[in-house]
Amino acid sequence: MTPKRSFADIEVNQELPPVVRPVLQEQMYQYGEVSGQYNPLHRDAGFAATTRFRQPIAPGPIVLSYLSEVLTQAHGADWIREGEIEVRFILPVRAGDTIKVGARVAEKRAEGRRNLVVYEVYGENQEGRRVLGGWAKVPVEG
Amino acid sequence: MSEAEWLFDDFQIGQEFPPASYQVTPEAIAEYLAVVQDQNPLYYEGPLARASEFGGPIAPPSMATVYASLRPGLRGKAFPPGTVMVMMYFKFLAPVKPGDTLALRTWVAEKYQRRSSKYLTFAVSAQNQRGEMVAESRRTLIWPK
Repeated sequence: MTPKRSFADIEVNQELPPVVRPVLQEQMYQYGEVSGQYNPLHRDAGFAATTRFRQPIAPGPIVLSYLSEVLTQAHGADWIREGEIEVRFILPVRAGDTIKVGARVAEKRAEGRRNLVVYEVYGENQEGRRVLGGWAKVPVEG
Repeated sequence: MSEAEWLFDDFQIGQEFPPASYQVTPEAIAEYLAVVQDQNPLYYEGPLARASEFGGPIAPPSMATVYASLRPGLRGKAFPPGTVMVMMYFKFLAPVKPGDTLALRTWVAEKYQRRSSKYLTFAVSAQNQRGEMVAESRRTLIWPK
């Protein structure tokens, strides 16, 4: 349940199993409730029509959470205790889009006495267009 | 009705907002999990979570987007409609558990304009009731006015 990847098993360019999941308007409403942030860009088609996005877009944190799920599946407690992630949102995600998020090993290195894995992380929509990109780091034993 | 709004001109680099807190209730975790649809048994009451090294269910690390959000620190005024997130950064430092009370520090890390868009980077750090840092975060938004 908390699978741990050992450092020796990790190779540059390895891909973690991706998460492929839609983002629905219902989730966009609910994220607003949970976070206490009622940005009309995510929930009001009339407001969104007045912006350059023209229709509601998904809160970035929903897609970021899919990526954290990928890294938690792979690294368990190592990710939960010491993971680090930075993402940039490149293209809007719209209600009903199906997003694939994943991580590819960019680098493995020793940092002090510890072993560190650096991932390139990405998200793409059902047309294969990149909606987000960034990196993640996780210290790994072994 | 028309609550005062945070405007770009209200913010300066280094500005720190009043301390805030967030209660990590089991209900908040359940609602968050329902939104992001993460089925990992680490987050749900049951034998698998109890057998884990955490000794019981924890909050998913990505819930930092909620518990370390800007809303508690920037309480008192509304956000102008239409802020756009362009970057998020998180560093997780300790697991967060149901029942934790997190103390939040929120400050302005960056403020700049580029091609007539207004950008703000906010930093939020979260510490639990035992004084352990649980997360550091940054987020950059385009501020509409």
